[in-house]
Amino acid sequence: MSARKSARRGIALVGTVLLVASFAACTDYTKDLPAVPTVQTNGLEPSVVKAVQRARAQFDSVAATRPSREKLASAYGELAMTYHAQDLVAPAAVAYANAHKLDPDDKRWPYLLGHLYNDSSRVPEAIASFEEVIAKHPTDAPTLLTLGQIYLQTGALDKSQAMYERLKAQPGGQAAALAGLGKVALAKRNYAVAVTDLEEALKLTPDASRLRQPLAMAYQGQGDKVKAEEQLRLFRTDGFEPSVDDPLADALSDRVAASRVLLRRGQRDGKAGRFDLAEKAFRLAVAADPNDAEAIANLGISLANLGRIDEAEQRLEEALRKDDSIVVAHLSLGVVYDRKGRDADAIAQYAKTVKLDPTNVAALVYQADALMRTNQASRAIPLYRDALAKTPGSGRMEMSLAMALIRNGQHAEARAVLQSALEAQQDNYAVANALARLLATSSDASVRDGARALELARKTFEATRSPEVGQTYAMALAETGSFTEAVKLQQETLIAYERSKLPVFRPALERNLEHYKRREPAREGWAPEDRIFQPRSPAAQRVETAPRPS
Amino acid sequence: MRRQLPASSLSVYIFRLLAVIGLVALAACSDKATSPSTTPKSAQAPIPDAPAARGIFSEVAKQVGIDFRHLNGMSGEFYYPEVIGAGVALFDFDNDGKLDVLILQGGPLVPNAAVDMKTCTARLYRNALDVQPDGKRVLLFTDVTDASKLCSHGYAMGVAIGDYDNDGYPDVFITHFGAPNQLFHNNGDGTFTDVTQKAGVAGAGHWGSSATFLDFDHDGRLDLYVVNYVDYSLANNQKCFASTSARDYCAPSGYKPVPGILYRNRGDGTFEDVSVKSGITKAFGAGLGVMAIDFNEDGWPDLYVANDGNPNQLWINQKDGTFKNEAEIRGAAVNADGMAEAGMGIDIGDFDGNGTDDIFLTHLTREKSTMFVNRGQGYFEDRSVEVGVAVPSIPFTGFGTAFLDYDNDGWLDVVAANGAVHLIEELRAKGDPYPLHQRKQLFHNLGNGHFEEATAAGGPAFELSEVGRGLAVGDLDNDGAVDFVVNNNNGPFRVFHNDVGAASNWFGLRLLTGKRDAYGARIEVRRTGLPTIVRRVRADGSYLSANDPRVLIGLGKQAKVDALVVHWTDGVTESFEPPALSRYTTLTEGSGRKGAKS
Repeated sequence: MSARKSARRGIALVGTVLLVASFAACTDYTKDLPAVPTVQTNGLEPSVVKAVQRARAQFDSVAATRPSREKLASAYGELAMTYHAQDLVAPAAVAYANAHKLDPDDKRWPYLLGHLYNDSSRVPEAIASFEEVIAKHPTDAPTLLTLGQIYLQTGALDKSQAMYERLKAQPGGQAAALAGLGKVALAKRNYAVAVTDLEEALKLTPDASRLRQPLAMAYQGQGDKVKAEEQLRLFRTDGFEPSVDDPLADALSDRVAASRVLLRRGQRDGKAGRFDLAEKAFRLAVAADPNDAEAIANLGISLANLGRIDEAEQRLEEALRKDDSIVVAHLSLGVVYDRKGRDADAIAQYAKTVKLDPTNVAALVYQADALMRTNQASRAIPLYRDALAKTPGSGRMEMSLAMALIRNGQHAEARAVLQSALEAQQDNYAVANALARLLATSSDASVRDGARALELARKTFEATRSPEVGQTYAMALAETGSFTEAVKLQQETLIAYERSKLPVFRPALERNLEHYKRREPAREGWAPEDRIFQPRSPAAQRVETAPRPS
Repeated sequence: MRRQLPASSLSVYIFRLLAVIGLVALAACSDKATSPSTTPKSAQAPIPDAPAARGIFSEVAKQVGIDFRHLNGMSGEFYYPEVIGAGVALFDFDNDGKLDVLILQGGPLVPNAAVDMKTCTARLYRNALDVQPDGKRVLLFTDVTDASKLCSHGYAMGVAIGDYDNDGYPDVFITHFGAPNQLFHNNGDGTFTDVTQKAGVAGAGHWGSSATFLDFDHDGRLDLYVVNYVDYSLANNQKCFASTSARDYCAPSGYKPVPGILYRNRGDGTFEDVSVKSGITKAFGAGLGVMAIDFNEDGWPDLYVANDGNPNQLWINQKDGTFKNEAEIRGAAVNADGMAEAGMGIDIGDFDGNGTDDIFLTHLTREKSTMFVNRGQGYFEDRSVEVGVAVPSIPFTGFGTAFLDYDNDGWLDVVAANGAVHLIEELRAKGDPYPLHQRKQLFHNLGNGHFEEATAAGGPAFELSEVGRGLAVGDLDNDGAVDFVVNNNNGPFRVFHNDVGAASNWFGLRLLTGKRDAYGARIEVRRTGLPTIVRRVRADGSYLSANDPRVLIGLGKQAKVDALVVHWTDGVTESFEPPALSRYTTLTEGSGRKGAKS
């Protein structure tokens, strides 16, 4: 019995040992996982080093607790995302692969690994990863879109088409799917389908200006050069294409720690008009490197573009305190001051901009405009001249220069500028109107030419029927002795202004009306209070983000 | 599918054998060597008895006497020119029927330093190819820079070759970073004279890149178009960073692009800057590549400029001294996705055998190379993926490139010299001191409108991982097989000898209009039952470089040619008797049977 008992005990012991051993073997699921390579952090930004070290420490602390497979997979995945966000490809790839091996059902890791491979030009591996995702998650919109794009790039047109067709049925995926289908059709030389799909995509996302190019090529393929040219006029190389929401990509993006990368992202977003996203990226960039004047300046610019003028002012001033050589910060601060009505401060900032970058046409014009608004036409004139020299043939510059010259009493020069502008742009009614008015009203008799003024004013008035030109026509009538007609037209013009609610300095019109009634010509083409002497560029209402090297 | 030539074809052994024989022959010749002053810095080593080649090309630079290493002046400051590289020209400066080599050099980059007028930043190597009575060839180059007086001053970038004074000797134009461009007149006696000042082509201090000679106004004289890159100086060098946050080279977007310059040849040794008058400054980007080709087949040369990160320009010659940019409407400004790419290297040729010129461009990693296929009359479609050049090029940053029919089967293949411009993280992490290197690529034209990558078949020479930049193609040993050379950035110069092409039927042409090469002339080789082969005379293209202006026609197994027709650039068409095979023939305008003006 005792021998039996001891034999049983022995068997039980062996069994227990075997069970424990096999359990241990099962739970030691880390033993076949390759080690994540150490990162060479020499030369990396402190914020990046810190982010990497923090992620590694977090991973180690999870790993030390003998976690479940799923928990360890997540830890590997999180670590991989941090590496991936810093573009540290080798450790990211290993960490993602480990995460995926531990938890094959979690979509995140093969999906992000696919992107990592794709970003590293390892296209076949990227395709394999994404195909694995789509096999398990057949309606996942970001994966459908990405696979559609990669298949298209690799010439697998039918596969690409299939992905886009599936994407089309997904919520929020229609525009991107149509864009993709249009491109597939273009690649297949099926121009009619390409036109239909791309036009549909543009109906859904009219701002997707980059689609205009393939659409133009599709029209070109159909032999419709006119429509092709129409589309090309709307095309922007830095435009965007429709996409789908991709929370994983956003999460990855949020882990970027390099201030320069964040800066670039912000600039890209700003360029695309997404100032909200730009602001977010610039804030992260500033957090990563609080002394980065360029990041602070860009944050200021984004805030200005979002209409948050006070915050913008603070940030721009802060950036310039750190680095006084950031041209675009001076320009933007000038615009901010401009928009706050602080003309003198704006002028100073524009002047600094021009000093740092003499080729900056915007700064020249904004400064000149501000000088005009502060009754300093003589100072504005050389700036407009400089801007015109830098943008030959610009109607805006010619008109601004002419008005500054008129305001400064240099009528003969103004006439020359306007005549030259009109020769180049015969349909420019603003120029025609200004020239006619100058010819009709100049205090300099050698400049006046009533007959020409009348001809120009009549022609322009017939084309525009605008009260602004009506005033001029009346002036020309008076100058040529047709006072009765001038009185009648001036009275009608006053009524037209009233009805149209167009801004006008009424006393000047009334003064001229009195002149005409007294059979006197007008000698005041524009009152000093006229809005034309208060120029403000619409561009100054919205500033661009700083173009900096990537 | 076309036949892939075996790696150890007969010609390979012949080439190697010749090398040995050449050694003996050279030793015999060396007894009769002229005075040291006429053979300066001669690289005396002939091609050694190397192991049998295992591919299409063998790298033989040192064996043929070219031991040149480009220096980019890398200082740790990440100065932009450090990654741009330099060009190379293959041209016959002494008209002895053998292609000589001009290699451009960089140098130290020091802010505010004056141009070094003592150092010559280009080396001229004379080809002393020895074709022995039994037809055996020994290739050997000697450095004749000092004797030639061709002395480039400044950090040399690009080179264009053209006989601007129609005296029958090709002249040399070199662009620089940080120094005036230079024009060298070929005196016809083995020497050159710097005529930059008299000619008025020094430029306005901009960073010149590629250049091309073309007769845009049909006055019989070669004019000059110079591409400028960006408004960069060492003083305005910006700090840029990789996504990892490590310091890296900047992209061109950080600097303002600069318009190119069009110089009209007045015919008296001087040039007039007609850039504004011609309209060519109306659109521009950060220009790197350029070629002059008559795209719309109206008989007047047009210009295609490949820009780095900006839409390309296709300047259509308006025949009145002006040009109009029609790149967008003609489908050659941006890729199929509407993206402007990093256009660097360029070549133009009829790869699909339909008689029209297609455009091949190399770009950055992940952008893929682009093939703009000509749909006729100079209207293009991006067919890169379809023709098979896109996917294999995704991991590479391509620079110098060329269409070349390496196996002489009548179909244009493609070669590309690759090398990154932004640090490759995997290499950087390994502590690589210059982590930009990549291998070159070869694409084989299957004759059905598609290419397949043939890099592996290229041989061990294609396993070299280097920072490829300038590349030029030409038949160095006149064996009918097109060779190519690469000026690697901050690396050794390479000569890739073609070991297989001579096994197929071929003939070579040099086309002259008057005494000079007839750039732009179009050749049609008509054959019964086979596509007509269409080629153009060109020296421009690739990247910062100049190619052999002669035209090699590969015929594969089919030797018979029915007719040879030349469309000269002045509109005259002439037909010629099919030339003899396996040799070069010179055709001069006016010596053929005239056809109607085209």
